[in-house]
Amino acid sequence: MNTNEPFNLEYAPAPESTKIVNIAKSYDLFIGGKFVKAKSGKTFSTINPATEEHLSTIAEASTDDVNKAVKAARKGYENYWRDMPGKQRARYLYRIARQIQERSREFAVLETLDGGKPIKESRDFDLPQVAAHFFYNAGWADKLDYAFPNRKVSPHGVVGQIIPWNFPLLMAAWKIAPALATGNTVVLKPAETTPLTALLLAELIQDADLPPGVVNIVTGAGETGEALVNHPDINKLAFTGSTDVGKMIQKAAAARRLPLTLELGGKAAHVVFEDAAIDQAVEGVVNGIFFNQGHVCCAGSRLLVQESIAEDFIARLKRRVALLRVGDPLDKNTDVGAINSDAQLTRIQELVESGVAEGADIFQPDCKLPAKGFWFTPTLFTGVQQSHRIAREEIFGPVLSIQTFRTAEEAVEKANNTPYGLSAGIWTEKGSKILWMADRLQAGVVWANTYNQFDPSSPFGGYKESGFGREGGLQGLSPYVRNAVGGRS
Amino acid sequence: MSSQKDSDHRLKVKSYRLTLEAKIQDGELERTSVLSSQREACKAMGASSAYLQSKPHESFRTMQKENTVTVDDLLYHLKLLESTGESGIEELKERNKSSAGTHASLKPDRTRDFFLTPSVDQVALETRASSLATRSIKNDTKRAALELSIRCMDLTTLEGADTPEKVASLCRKAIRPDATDFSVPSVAAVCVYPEMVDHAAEFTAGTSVKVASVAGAFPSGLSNLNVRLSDITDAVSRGADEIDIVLNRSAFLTGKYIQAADEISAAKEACGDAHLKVILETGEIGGYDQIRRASELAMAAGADFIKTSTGKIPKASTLPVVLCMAEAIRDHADKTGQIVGLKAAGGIRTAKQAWHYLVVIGETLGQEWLTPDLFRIGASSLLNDVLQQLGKLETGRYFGPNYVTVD
Amino acid sequence: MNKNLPVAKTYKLFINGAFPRSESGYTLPIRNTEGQLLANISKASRKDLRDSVRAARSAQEPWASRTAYNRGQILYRIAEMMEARREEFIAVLESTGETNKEAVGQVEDAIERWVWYAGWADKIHHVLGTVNPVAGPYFNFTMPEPTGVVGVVAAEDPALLGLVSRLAPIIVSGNTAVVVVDAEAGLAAVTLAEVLATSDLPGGVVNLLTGDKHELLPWMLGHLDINSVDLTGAPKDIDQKVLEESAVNVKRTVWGDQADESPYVIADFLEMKTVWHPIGR
Repeated sequence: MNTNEPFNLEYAPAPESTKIVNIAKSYDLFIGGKFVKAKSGKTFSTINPATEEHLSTIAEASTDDVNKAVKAARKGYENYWRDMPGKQRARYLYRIARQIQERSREFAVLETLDGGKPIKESRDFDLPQVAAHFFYNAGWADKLDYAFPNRKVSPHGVVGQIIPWNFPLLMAAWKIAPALATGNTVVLKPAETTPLTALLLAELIQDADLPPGVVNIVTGAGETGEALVNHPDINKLAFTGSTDVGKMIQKAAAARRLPLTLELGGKAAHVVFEDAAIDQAVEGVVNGIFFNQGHVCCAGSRLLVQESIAEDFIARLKRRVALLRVGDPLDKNTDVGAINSDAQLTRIQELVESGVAEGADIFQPDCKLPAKGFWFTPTLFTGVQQSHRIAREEIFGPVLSIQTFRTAEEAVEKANNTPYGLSAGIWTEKGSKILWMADRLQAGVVWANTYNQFDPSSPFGGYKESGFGREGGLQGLSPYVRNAVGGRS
Repeated sequence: MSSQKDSDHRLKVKSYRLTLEAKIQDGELERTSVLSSQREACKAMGASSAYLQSKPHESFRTMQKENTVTVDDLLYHLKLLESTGESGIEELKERNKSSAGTHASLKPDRTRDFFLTPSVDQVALETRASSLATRSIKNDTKRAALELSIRCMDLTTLEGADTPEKVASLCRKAIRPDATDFSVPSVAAVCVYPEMVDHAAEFTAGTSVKVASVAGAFPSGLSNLNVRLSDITDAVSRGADEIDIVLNRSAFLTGKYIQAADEISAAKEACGDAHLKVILETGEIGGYDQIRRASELAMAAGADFIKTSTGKIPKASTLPVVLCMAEAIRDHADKTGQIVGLKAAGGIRTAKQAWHYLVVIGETLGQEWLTPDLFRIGASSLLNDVLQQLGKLETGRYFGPNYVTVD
Repeated sequence: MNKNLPVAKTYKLFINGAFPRSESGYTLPIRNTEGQLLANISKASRKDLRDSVRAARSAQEPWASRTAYNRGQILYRIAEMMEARREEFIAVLESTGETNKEAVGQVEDAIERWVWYAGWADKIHHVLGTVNPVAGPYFNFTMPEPTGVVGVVAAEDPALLGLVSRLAPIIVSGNTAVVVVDAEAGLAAVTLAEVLATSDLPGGVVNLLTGDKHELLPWMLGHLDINSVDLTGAPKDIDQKVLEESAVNVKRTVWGDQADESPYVIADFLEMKTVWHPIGR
């Protein structure tokens, strides 16, 4: 053997086994503690976006089915959940948390199959966070008097919840756990491209003996969501998704003065100063935009880098992006998985084409994409102007728009120059500059010298058109109680 | 040469000279940067890569073969050609000797302020390291990686109780790690104290296994510089191919960076042809900011390798430490063109750990670094774990420690 | 009896610290219970609303950048100035139909409300902010920040207390306000504006428009540079379509109660900002 021959660091495929999951041929709606057929008999197919293979047939809930689910939730509320002592509610939530931990690998594999995200992320991020959210909120169930001093709070009643496809099970946990902890019952609608983990959660909820009707899951697309939003017997709505849909929901809720939580889109600025810890900033920027294929509402999709280091920083960034491993989401070494759906892929492609057409410079590393499935190469745009569509519109994909700035004031001005205000990133080794920036950035979450960190104890949510209300932490409880904080709806 | 041709030639030279000067002006090149190949020299002045093959450049080619040449030497060569039409080897040598460019790679840049090295964020660095540690390895890659970790290993014994017999069995193990399987490659080197070098040299003679010796008041480095240097020359004269010294942490921690760097340069000189590895003792010099600073300092001073630890304190090599050093090496190579190796030592006991190091090096520095020339793992007990893993691959059975030899 | 003919006050709008007439030139007559003319009050137009939002926007950042201590002192100063003019307030309320007892009670309560909220300026962060024990090497805290520019539709009954009860918790945290008051209840409001103008409150922090709510509300709810609206005093018959306008820029809409006196009312007009930073060395 020639000892001077460099080693070829080509990782052999290391696929996670799918034996652990057992996907049924078809799934019904979860209403009143039981799986029931949709009245209309309508169904839709959920596929694996990495292979385009059909995974299962899912019942589509019509207005009648939604009525049934809301009725079941009302019964669950009045017969069991409303009057159950907080300590008992806590027990149920703890039990759910534990069972999630026990079956965590199964959920992770299913999440990856149905949604296309890398197993590394579903296994090491989504599932631990899911369990943690149930654990965290369980503890609040019997301590609400301490959460809102001097204000006797009560649950809203039946809560309608609509969640997106980017973190399917985690979003379900973000919604269900605080709602249940505060004494509400829920009707949850998962996204139509990623219903499977929510339905597995329904099975787990059955195993946990949660009283019937406390959690109901209705699968379907826009029409199902609309039926839920317009249902007259819903006491509160919580929605995570696009700003466009969020506005429609706010309209529908406005006339009824329906309490509402919206967690919408973003176009976060990720600001890198010349005095940043450069290599970690590169990692942060990469994690900020390529985590979960960029299907993240708080993705750091606009990089603002100080002009004095821009050239060096962009060179480092390109080198790092070229190392990203795009491919089979089930492979443990995959960094970037499949785009969630054909429709989303089309949207990303369209915006990227607009970037090229408007004159920005595109960089894409050499990257072999699988022949089948929905894929997009990690993309950087340099020479981006504030007026370009790729600098203003949420792309929700692995595409980073890079701009430069000269002074901290200019960075703040550019960062805030958007109707969105969900998150922002700052990289500098100067403490006072971090606090100066954090004070001025109009964003609900500011990550300084880190990015895309989440925790059940840490509130998350937006300013401006990124929505209102918080999820997580003490502040995440208040949207689920009446009279907690005056009258914001 | 016709006068027309001559003036064309000079014009061309002038344009290259101007290109080179512009690059220096813009900070793209440093006068003291080493040009290690013709290609590199051509690239520096913006010429096609075969340009220096022509006759007027013979002197420069000879220089490059025999000496360390820098950007400054190339500039001088071009100036000679431009003004006189000729460049002689004697003139070039004279210039090389007298200028600051002599062994530029070995001398610390006294203008460098090592206080100004980049900051390193601990949490983000460690997050990156642990994410690299999730890289999974299977089948053929696994075998190749296990063999590579053997080929990059410095099998080490650094005990006061070391004896010629102990060193003999270490060398035997180094040459043929698996007594029953000749296809298992030899390790890169054995690493011993200077007094054991003669024995090690004798036992490894005629094999690919190199002899590395710690030297220079190892592991503290706190003795008179002359004593340390003579320790090095002694080890080299006994037959050491590689010398592992420690950074003067006392100087480093008191901010005497130039002193610390000068001592490394002196050690490099004392090494002669032997390779110099500089141990930073990362567990003792503070946080990652200091590790980054010490790495840059050692490289600027002429280290061929930078190495994590002596193995003599509890805090030994860790993945984020190696990631931090690898980033420094990468940036140093980008800036100066100098290629420096990395040695992780201390606390590496399992094949899985070794694999994590290969991933960190591969994904930070590139696969070019994954050779024994540029990457080493210093270890004593790692080899047997790797052998057991290889055995598992071979037989499909989990191995027990008694199925490989202790040394 | 005065020897001279009394000099009547002109009741005008309050925008950016000044008292302009409506750009429209329209006024509305306000008469006492006997039908005597009290004032021709300015009737604000949508352009006055636009100008007010502009003033409120440019005043917002500087106001929020004041120290909480300073904002608290200014709110307290408002109480002081009201106290000094209590007789005037009582007279205004009586002139529009309140009994003396009611008027005195309302003025007392309104002054008390300024004092109470003044004290919250530098305490609300303690009560609503948190340090979050995240499961990782990060320091993580959540702090309240003002929402920005708030459109306020105040309740008219009680005219003075209804307005103060909403305005004090809105501006104490650093928001600025554009208030729309029905012209009929405008005398107390404009008198309050005269207090605000002499209380060290920077111009533009509170802008007060007397006029027709039905006419101004659609413009307020549809305005893209208003972050939040307090609909506590919105007319009962407000059109659904008008309410839907609040969605154009995802406005926070608040339906409160003018009787509330609570830090949670302040919270209705706050954003929660969460900041993460690694803990390392």
